[in-house]
Amino acid sequence: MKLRKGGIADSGSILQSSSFYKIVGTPSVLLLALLFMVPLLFILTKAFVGEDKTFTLSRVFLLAKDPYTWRILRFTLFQAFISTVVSILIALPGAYLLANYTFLGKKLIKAISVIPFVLPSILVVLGFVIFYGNSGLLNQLLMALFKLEEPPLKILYTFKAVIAAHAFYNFPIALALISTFWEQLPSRYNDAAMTLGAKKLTIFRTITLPRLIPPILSASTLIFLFCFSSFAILLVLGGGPRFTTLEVEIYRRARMLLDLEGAASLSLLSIVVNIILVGVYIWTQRLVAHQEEIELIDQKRLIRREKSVLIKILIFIYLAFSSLFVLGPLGGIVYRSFTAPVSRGGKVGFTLRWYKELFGSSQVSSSIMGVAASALLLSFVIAFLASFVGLVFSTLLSSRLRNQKGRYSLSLELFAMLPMAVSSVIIGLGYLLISNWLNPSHLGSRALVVLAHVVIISPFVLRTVLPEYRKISFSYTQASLTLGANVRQTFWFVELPLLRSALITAFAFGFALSIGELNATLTLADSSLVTLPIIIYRLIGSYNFAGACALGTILILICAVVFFVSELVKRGEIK
Amino acid sequence: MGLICSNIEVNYPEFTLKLDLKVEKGELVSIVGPSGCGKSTSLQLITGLIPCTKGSITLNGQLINDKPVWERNIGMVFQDYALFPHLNVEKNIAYSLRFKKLSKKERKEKVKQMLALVGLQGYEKRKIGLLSGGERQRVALARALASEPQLLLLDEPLSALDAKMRKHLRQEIKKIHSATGITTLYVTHDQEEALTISDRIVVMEEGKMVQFDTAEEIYTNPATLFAAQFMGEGTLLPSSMIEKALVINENKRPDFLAKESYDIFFRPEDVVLQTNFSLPMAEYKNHLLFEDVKIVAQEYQGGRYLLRCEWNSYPLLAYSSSKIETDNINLSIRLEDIKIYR
Amino acid sequence: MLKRYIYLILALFFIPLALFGRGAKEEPATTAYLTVYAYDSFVSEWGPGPAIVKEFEQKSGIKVNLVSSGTGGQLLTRLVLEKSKPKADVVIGITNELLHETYAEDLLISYESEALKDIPSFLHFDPKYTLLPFNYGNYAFVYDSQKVKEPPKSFDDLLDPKWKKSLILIDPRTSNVGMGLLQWTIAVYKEEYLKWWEAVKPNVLTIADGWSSGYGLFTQGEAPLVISYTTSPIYHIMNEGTERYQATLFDSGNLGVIEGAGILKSSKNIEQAKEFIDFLLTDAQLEIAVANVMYPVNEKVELPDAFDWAPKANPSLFLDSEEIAQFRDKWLNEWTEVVSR
Repeated sequence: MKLRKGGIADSGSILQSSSFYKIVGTPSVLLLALLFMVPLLFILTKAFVGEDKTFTLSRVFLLAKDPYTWRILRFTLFQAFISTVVSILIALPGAYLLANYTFLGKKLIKAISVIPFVLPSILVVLGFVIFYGNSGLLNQLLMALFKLEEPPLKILYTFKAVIAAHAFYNFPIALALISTFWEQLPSRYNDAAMTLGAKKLTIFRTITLPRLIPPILSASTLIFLFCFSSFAILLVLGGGPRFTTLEVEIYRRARMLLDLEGAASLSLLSIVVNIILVGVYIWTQRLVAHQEEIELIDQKRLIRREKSVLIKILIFIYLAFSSLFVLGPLGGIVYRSFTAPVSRGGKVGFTLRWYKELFGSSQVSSSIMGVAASALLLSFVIAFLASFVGLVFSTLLSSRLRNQKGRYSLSLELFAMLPMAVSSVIIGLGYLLISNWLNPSHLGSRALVVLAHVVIISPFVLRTVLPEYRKISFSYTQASLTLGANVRQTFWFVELPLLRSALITAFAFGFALSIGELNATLTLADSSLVTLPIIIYRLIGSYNFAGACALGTILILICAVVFFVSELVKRGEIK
Repeated sequence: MGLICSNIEVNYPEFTLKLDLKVEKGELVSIVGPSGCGKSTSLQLITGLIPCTKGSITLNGQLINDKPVWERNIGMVFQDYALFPHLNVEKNIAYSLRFKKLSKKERKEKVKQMLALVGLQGYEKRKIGLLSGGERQRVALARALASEPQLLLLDEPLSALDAKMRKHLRQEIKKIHSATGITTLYVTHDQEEALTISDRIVVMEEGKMVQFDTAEEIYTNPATLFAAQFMGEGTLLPSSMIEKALVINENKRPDFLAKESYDIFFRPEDVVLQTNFSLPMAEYKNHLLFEDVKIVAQEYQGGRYLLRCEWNSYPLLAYSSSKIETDNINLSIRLEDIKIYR
Repeated sequence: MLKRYIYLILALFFIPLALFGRGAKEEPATTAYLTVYAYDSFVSEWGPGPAIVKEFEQKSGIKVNLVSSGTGGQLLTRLVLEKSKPKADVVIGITNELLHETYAEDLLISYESEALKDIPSFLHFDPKYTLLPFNYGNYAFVYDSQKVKEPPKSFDDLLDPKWKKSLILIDPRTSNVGMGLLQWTIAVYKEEYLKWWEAVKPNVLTIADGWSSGYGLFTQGEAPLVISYTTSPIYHIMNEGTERYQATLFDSGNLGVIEGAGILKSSKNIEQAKEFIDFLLTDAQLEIAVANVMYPVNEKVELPDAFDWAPKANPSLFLDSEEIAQFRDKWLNEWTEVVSR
């Protein structure tokens, strides 16, 4: 019989039959079903509508036969795959450094690195161009330094640029997920291996790396799904239609051709592919995940680690590299927000004008504060609520998934990941349907927006919390039960505290995502509900790029603060 | 009184677990057996972590099958201790007390009491992560005992420690057991441990209770070959080899010789040595005589040597009070000292 | 410990309650109430919507609920999706190229407003007057006068090797402006339009996904030419005080785009809706033009001086909407094929 450390929690154990887990997992499922599945299915059924409005499979068949479809599907998978691999590779060294050493700037890296994720993609593209573009800051700097005529780095508008942009966006997630997990791996096994004569690299390869597979897989799935449906970055930074993805074609049909049926069928294909991928991922996670001991991070342990010269150099290089990589585009956005033409000829100079405009004028809003200020507050509040609710739901769902391996748990997990697997165009349409059908009141539509945010951030929050939850040894749960705590009390007094670190990371993630969410908010909000991303979007749409950058800068600041605070809280005393 | 498990049966793919035992109140019973034979599972059944569909469990007169884990008031020490890393020593120990609605003062008092019991006075505010293995084990014990449970279960509590610590701690456990008088079930794969501290021992093989008796009984009269081999070393020979070594001196021929095929087993301490080959074997009872046995190794055990020998490519074990200088030796064993197993 | 969390949670719930109360739009009580769907930039703080709605409400006493709905095509889509439970009275922002599809959905009533007499006939793109024009513009290539001394005057000019990697174009599959550009090349080259796209490839820096990114790249200085509107320079004059960015007219003409507004058949407030449309076509015209940085349709409107900086397109080219509806998909397929190579 296989020796399972700490005890058995498969069919036959007390946890299996506990109704607590069944009940708590239910609200999240219901929410997802209502807010997501129903409208999604409604839209998707259009894929089966024929020319004469009757049910038919012909559309789907035609699509499956079309070689063009397969070509772009292949490309979509390919670029997503490469982007994922690159993101993970970039993240690993960083995760290693973050997990094993304390050094100056550590908190800063962590805080800043997740910001790209929160920005609307249009701003990211802009930032990239501002910094890396042919007339961008980097080239300008190099040209000034080395007295060059032509910009030396013509890296944009190529496939490489696309991958780089994806990595910029995504490697911070991998960094956060992997380093959090890594931090808590007990070093015993490594030490044991060292006494057996294994070299450091071997230890890494054979002992550490296999145990890092759960968070690596977790991060990879998120990144892959994200890149799968990316399209602004691909088109603009890639240079054009050569890099068409499935999402572009869905967009084309839904927005330009008013061919909802076509968009639905393509979306169906995309969803099926994504479901398969997520399914494979979940299945692999099951195989690989085993319970780790949770070792409290002892600060002393970290400091005791001597930083050899090599490590110091590595830290420096990594800091420099990630600063350039991440701060560059962000810096570009900040830079742009402070410049404006100062003469009729168009020369640019420093100015606070855009900020003043945003916060000074009251325009026609009935709020006494400036338009941007009230949007800021609203975004903040929505994000807070959404992350809180999202965290609660995901944690409860995770407890269900960890403790009960029923027939349904695989599909439940898949279900929870679904919002990530669906094109944002289709999601938008789905929300349209919901809002029309529900016809909510003023307060109702705000609640709807918060709930929509919850649905959108849930995959990320779940992916952060679940692996950590699974890591918790069952013997803690069992010990608590034998000591007189029932299932609910065990959850509250033992499992939750052990999840503290993950919960905080997840909250920060969810917050960042919510505050930068554009699509759903735009569709669901009535005109009095204006969030920061909506304003950015509108500014860009009305020529005011600098103003958009100013707001983007504020967004960046908010997120940096949120992450900074979360890191501080994590390090604090556990009460 | 005490613990009664009746007709408990659980099916697993590898074997069927069957439990039927009565532990007297205040007794310390060990469950021994190889890894994976169902010892830990038995404990989990008793605590209720695994539901019990067949059979009944009674503790101090009360039927506890249907009670959920947290109502059974059974203390358990896990193999990995499972000390909550986010709580300090004091809070770990006081954990169960919180659900018993004790006041803060009472909790503090109890913790102090427990720490004194396990010899860790003053450890209240210590962090779990900084404790040594032995200290953790004792905290785990203190934690399990804090709520004054009616039954204490220990699941291989010492297996993570070094030999010296193990020896020391098992005495501690025995002392605590005597001090508290709590009914205790102790699971271990180390038979020496079981032998030294238990009142009685359950030998388990593939989910079945093979023998339930005092250590001495099991050692001298093992019910099965498995029990015999598990409880101590010995020599195992198939019946086909008997004829070669058989020496019948008495009138009566033992019945077992007529049987078809069987195994024989005997302990090294019952083996008689003959080093002086000039004299015949001084044995007047029916016995087996092994001639020209090759000595493969001599292990000093502090006071005597364990001889590992080989006879017709079968291993033989014997004791000698002093080191044997020759390479070969004659051994004999009385038929009455042999155990027969099918 | 639990107590601490409770306070936190309570605090959390008080904040939003306090905030959500602000800026609330009142639900209508007794006065008439119009729901107007418009495209997003119309509804935005920087668009014409808020100002003209305020003016209209003061003037007519009719409350207006302005709802944002993406862009032109999305507006129509939304109306179709809501057919069973229609909420809108008026729709603003369906362009001339969607006329055929609009007819097909048959959601609008016909209304010949009085104000039409002040609108030149070439802008009356809907003979049935289900969509009335309220705003129009022309596509044009906008250039950076600091870098471009001799702006191109035709599509053929753009093929010149001196423009290597100097053009920012836009994808017609994902953007209206991109679609506009595509249609413009078709209007000029007819069947041969693909040849131009093939030939222009070396001069293209990138084909952006939308006007926002395209123009953003342009103002960043990545390339000196971008497809935009003839009226784009006006923005820079008015808001940035710079003449740096100029638009160039093509000799063969620039494609025009006319935005239309209509009244839903399902509306329960037809009379008020008509009043609103009239307002849109008269008093609101100046605000719309300035906020949208496009041309008003009403001839009587006096435009601010800044508008002199935008060249007047001559001629304004248009494709037949039925033709567009029929061939749009084919064009996109062909275009994708050629440009992806």
